[in-house]
Amino acid sequence: MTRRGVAGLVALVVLAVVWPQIIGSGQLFFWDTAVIAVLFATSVNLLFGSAGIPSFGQAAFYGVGAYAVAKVAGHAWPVPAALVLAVVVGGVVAFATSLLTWRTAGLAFAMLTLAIAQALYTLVEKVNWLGGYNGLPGITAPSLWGINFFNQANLWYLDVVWVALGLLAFWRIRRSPFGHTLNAIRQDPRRAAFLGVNVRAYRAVAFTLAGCGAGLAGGLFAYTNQIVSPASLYWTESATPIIMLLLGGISYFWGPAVGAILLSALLNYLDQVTTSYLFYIGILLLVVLLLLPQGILSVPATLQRLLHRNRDGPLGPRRRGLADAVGGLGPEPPGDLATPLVPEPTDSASTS
Amino acid sequence: MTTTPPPAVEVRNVVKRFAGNTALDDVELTVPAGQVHAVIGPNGAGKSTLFAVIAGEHRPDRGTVHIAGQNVTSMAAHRRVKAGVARAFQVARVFAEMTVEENVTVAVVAAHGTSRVFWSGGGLRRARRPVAEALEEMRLGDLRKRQARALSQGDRKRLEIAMALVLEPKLLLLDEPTAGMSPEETAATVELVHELWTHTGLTVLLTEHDMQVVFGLAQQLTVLNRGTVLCTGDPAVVREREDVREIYLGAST
Ligand SMILES: Nc1ncnc2c1ncn2[C@@H]1O[C@H](COP(=O)(O)OP(=O)(O)O)[C@@H](O)[C@H]1O
Ligand SMILES: [Mg+2]
Repeated sequence: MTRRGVAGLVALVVLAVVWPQIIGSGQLFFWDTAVIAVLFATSVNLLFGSAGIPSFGQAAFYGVGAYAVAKVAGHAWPVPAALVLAVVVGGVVAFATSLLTWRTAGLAFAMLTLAIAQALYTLVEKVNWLGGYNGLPGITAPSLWGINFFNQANLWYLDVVWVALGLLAFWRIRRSPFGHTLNAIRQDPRRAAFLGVNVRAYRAVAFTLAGCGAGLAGGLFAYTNQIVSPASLYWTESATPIIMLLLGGISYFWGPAVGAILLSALLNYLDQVTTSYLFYIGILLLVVLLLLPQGILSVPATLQRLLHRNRDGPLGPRRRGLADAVGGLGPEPPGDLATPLVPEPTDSASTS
Repeated sequence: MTTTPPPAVEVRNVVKRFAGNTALDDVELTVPAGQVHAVIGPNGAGKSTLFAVIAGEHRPDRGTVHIAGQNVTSMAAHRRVKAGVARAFQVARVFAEMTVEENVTVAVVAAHGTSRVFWSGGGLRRARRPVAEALEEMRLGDLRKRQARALSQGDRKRLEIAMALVLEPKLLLLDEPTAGMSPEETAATVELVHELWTHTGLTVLLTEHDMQVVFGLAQQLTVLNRGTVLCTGDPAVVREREDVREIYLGAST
């Protein structure tokens, strides 16, 4: 790790420790939800930013993670066990979803994930065992090693520690051979297949890992919010992390985190000053996407490019933005003979 | 008596149509193991389509493909790679947003079987040496930090060959490997393929417009015209055939 990286990390740790004192207990709940959103958005970016899988149904895995914790909290499961359960449940439901969507890619895949998540939402709303429309109230984290989580600051530390563990896992994944291969799959899945990569299986694994992260985020939300309702699985809950990662920048590891903090803060503070806050957020999103299509984290790179015009010319790294995320919606079948293949457009154009 | 190994490639009665246009019409091709075999023919003859059928990109409408004696007609492309087939595309296809080095790394971790490892970075570290060696071998060492999208077509083709070679294939499919290369690059590539072939004894199937490359490398030639095989044989013999000369009269290449 670079010296700057270490310094940044130390600063983050110090900030997390003193944050309850700085911010005061009134606003701490909001900051709890913001760091949970950081983890959720980072998990979603494994799909959008790395693998190029446009999922619009991540709320499903967030929701089942939340319900898993809600159910076992009543039986006084210790916190680590309950959160591991949330990770497992999120992963299992995501894996099942990846099997259901096995043959689809691009826009069809996006629509199918949305439909599956909405179906789960409707189901959860109807099941009495899960509290139906009202959900499950009265969730508390049982005290651990003598630390009680009725204390707002302690609850904050609980959230921060688990979010940090989740981020560490996604950092590891991004820097692994698997993460490198996902990058290749995003750019040209068929090319990757001709290097011996089973594209569909890799996508399923990525989808499962993202589901694990969403499940953990949902589980933390259950402890923090103390009530879980079907709203956790609603489609808007899938859209929020996508907006966050687009704001921050999908090609950066910290992009979703920055977007999550920013959007959460805006939603929270604008809500207090104006009723039409959604309008202003819409404007902001539009402005960022038009002026900084590669997200807020691309500001230094953009400035540098303006200052030293064409310094590294066409050779410097290009950062990806919205166009690339939407590009992931295009039709592209992996090279797999199990299904009929769409003719290759680039080859036929160049062979005449 | 020793049994002869099965042919590296055996294509039987393959028909491939695209929306009524017959790209391959009852094609037969047998390439013995260890041979360098060239498929030539004018543009649109079906050479690339034939390679796509062998590599598993297209499933033939009729006929079968055997690789090293195994029927692979309905085997997925990524499994054919595991069975020892590697290819380079006519229009080089590399991961544009990655550096040269990162492109080869994708191939190396796939070949090592570490590409599925998401919990550790060790596979990437172990890939460094083989990546550097492959780049050295393809004379891409100076370009290793270059973004692939900023490469010339000739460099891209060499990068693609480097990616194919690290898969340690038994059968290498090269679709016009020297297209877009300078004469020096072409000569170097020919030399490299030849060297590789003498050292590893792999089977090479290639298409090529540059007849100098074809005659410098190939032990056998197959002439394809409008989706059908005109003839197969020794390059010196095929070259003298009247019908072969005829189909090349119109085409300037
Ligand atoms: N994916 C495709 N879709 C439709 N037609 C194709 C496709 N690929 C090749 N063809 C057609 O098949 C014929 C053979 O093309 P190709 O195999 O590329 O020839 P060659 O490589 O010998 O120049 C051409 O008429 C070409 O237009
Ligand atoms: Mg061709």
